[in-house]
Amino acid sequence: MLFWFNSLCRSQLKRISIGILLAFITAFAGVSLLMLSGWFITATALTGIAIAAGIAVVFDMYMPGSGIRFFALSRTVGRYAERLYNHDTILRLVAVYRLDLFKRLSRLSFDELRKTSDSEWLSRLTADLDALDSLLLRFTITPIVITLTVCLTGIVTYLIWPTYALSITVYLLACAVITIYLTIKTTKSLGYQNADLLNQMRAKVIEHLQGRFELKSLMLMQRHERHLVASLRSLEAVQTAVNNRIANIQLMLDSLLSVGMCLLAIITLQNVNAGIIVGPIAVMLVLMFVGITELLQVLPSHFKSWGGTSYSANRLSPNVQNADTGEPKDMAFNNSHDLIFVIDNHPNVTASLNTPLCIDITGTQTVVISGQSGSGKSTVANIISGVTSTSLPQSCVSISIRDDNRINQKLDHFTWANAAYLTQSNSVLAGTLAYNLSIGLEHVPEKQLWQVLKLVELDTWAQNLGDGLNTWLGETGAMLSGGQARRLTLARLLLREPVLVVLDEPFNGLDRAMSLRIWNNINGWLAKRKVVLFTHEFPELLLQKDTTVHIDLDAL
Amino acid sequence: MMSTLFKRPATDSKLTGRLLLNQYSEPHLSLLKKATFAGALSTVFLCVMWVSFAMLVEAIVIRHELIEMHTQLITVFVFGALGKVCLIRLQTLFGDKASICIRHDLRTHILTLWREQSPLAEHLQSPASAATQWVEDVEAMDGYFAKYWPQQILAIASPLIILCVVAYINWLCALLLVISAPLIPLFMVLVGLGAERLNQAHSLTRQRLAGHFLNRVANLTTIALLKGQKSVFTEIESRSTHYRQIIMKTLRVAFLSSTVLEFFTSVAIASLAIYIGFSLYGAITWGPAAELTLFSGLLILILAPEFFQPLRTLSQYYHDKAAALGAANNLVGLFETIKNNDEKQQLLNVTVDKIHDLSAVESRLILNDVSIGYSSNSILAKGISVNIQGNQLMIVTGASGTGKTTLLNTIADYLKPLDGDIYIEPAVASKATISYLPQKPWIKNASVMANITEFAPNASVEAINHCLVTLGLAQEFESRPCGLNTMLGEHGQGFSGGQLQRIALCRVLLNPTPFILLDEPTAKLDLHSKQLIINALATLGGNAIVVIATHDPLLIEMADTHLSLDSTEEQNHAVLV
Repeated sequence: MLFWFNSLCRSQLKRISIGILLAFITAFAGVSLLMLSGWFITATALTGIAIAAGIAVVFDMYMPGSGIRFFALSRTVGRYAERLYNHDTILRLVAVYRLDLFKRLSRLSFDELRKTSDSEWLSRLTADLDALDSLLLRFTITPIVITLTVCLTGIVTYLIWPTYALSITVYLLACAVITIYLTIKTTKSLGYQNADLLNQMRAKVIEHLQGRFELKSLMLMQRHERHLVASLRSLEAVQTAVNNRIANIQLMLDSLLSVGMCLLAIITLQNVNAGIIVGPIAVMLVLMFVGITELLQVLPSHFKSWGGTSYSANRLSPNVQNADTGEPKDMAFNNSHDLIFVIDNHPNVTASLNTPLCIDITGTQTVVISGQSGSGKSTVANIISGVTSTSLPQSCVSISIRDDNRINQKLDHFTWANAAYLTQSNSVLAGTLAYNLSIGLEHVPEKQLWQVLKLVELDTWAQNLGDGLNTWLGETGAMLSGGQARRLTLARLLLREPVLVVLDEPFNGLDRAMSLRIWNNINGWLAKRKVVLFTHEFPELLLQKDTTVHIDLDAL
Repeated sequence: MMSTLFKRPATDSKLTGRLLLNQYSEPHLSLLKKATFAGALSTVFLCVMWVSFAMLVEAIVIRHELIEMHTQLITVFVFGALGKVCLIRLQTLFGDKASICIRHDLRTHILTLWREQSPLAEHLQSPASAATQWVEDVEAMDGYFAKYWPQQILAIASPLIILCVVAYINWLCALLLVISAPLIPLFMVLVGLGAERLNQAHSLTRQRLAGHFLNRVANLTTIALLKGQKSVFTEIESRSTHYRQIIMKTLRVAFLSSTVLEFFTSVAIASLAIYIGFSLYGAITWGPAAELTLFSGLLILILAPEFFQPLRTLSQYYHDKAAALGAANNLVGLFETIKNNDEKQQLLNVTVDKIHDLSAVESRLILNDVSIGYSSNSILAKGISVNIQGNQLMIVTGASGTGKTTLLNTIADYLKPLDGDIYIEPAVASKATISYLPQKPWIKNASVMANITEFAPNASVEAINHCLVTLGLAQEFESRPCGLNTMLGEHGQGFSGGQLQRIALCRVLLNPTPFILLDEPTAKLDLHSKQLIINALATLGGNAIVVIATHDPLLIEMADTHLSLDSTEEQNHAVLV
């Protein structure tokens, strides 16, 4: 939590101060409205009686009247300004948090990055980020505004009724502090547990439903529900406990404030009897107390979310990420180097279970690796493109570079500097067509973009789009079919100059004729590089069996 | 009790989110009403409190009486204050309790609905989105039941109580309050509509900007592979700025609605204060002004903000209502898909203590010219006929995609046959009849032992141990530090496919049923596991009708009956081997 508070202060201190000022003005205007109205009515009552009794009294009606109108208006305007301004600050804060988070996420290893595409993880990320709003609104602004208002009214009280000014101020501040302290102390861990239980329940539900096939036919689903029901009971117990504690603290606060107000009323009226202060002042003081009570009453509910926010804050904090194993080394190589991969007894690669699998890529040859689904093609593809090399040491995989002088350099914890990897998923980013093609590159001329589109036969389609290269792709724009998305991701690679190209089922979703045409189009580009092609079965249409290196993951 | 509690709505009435919320609040209406009543009563105590205060002030300030003479009033004042506070506590108590009970009912019912659904039902949601519904959507309803529901009524009842008190004293002030009260929601709605229109104008841009961050996070792998991280950093910054600017434009109008509330409230209080002040001064003489005293004036002044407070509170809780309604609308879809599945009702409350006495049962599996598929427009295989009596092993073969898994799903009654009928004996009744082992076995995030005993609650320790030895698991886990209590993560990382498959097979062996369906039990396994599994399967054939979908020649050899689903055949008959 501290990390986020610091981030908050560092980035938006000036804005937060102004926001607090606006909130303070609003609060003070509200209290003053009550105070002045009370004073005004009592004063006019006394004046009215005096005038009726024939005593000549000078009383300015219009100043207080204007004052009341002024406070009424300032409270309204202040509220509007304060809400608007603070919302703006929150949006800026969220932007800062997001960028910070993104930067940290982008430093994860590829294995860990995989979780970021999981929609559940994403929705939890959103929820966690939203929870951070409380930091500003509830935990920062509210207490500070209360303190300022109480102090200012304390000063005002001191000027008119010095004897008790300090006691009132101290009493109110003490109520505030005790409330905040008790709320945090008694509900922090419960709030944390609440958030944690919700997460556990989510995981249990997913597990329960994934087991449907096996559980339902055996009629064991209801029995298995007991895990969920138990979790639910715990959750309800925690929530009831939190609710009770908060409600009791609210009761305590409300009682303290009511008792305080009653005492104040009694003492001020006694003072009126004793002639120390006049009636209007007494009423004003009581109403001042009432006005401040309104401000303090929100404290328990505001701080109720401390535990939950703490939970979200911790999940987003840097200290939760795995210990940094250091920046991976960027390994460059060229066509004269050979790349050697040895996979031994990898659980996902059936072909490596009984004997080690060796893949040797020399010169600018094309290697075809074929296998049915489940044979571990994607795992092998990940290994060859260097994607898994940044994870913790894998005993089953060994990767080395051999250069002209036949020196074998074994590699560990690295990324390829000049490799391109076409994965099986077609990730079309939300953005324009031009953006999708040229992401990561600088200043690609339009001519080049059209060229690569032509190579993958997407040029006609692109021309027919409303905005050509500027058409927005993705959920809120033009949607692409599976085959089109595939070709788009292929076109992306064609704009670059990698030395190693790994293609995982590049022609998924394309018919044979189109696959052949596109293959012929990109052959020139492929010829200059090392190519590893992953497919279901050897693509006889595209390559010659006898001149291409073929590794069949099913045959081994 | 469940069945009487949740009468299905008539099949032709459409369930909406609002109806759903009402349906579930019904059984706990008494709690909600108690909360409302406590709230209304607290307003009464509030009036009592301020009446006594105003009386006290008038007595002391105007009539110069001594405060010691009014101990009664002081007592009433203090009791009023404390009573109000206690009643608010009661209101919270009942509201929170109602919310927890209602959400409990909702969640329990959803569990029942899931139980009834076929794992292959149409429009089935993913486990992840089902989890979101069960956890998050139901949580979103908390504020609605605990706070908004009582407040809807209190927003009318409390001001009414206060209005009565004010009207008793001065009808003009009461009139002012009565006029301003409905004006406020009216203006708020008008402003809200305006804000909504502004929202729509920017809606596409807003959507794209809002989705931008998540989209880039979701595609981080791609971005990293293309080495585009740095450019995305700049993007995120500029998009966030743009997003903020657009949102602020809308908020400038949207916040006006709450400003309207504040404005009317403040203006009403100010007007009342000035009116009362001038009346007391004597400057206003028309109307009921002359009857105003410090008591009545002060009372009205203090009660005025309290008159508007319930409405302000309601507008604060409005967001809870919107969230609940949104969540309820999500859930409606789930409830509708299960509406028509009444036949399975009786099986819901089955306990699975009873397993079949296999020796006494003569099993039969008959498929009569069955067509299988996921929907009538995509028939995978037709004319399947099978007639098996007595325990034996049947193999189903066919190229990938020809419907082997679909056939197993149809026999297990997860899919309805598109044509023809299936007859199973013993019928699925109060005892579990069919064991189904899918291609990828389900592994719980629990220990090895728990993964097995979940499916065999009545198995004895000896039976479990025997099974573990037979499948080679006892030896393999002996060497591990936690033995059979080793935790299997939900993806079973660190354990080979063969080990996981054998663990799943233990379940079948320990909880024998008359029908056992296995989907590719030996595919992609190491030789050791394969052998152990095949040995175990060999013994199964004598105790049940075992249907195995497979490519494995060793299993095909063992079969008593062979059904081939090759698409070249018009009719697929099971052939005795």
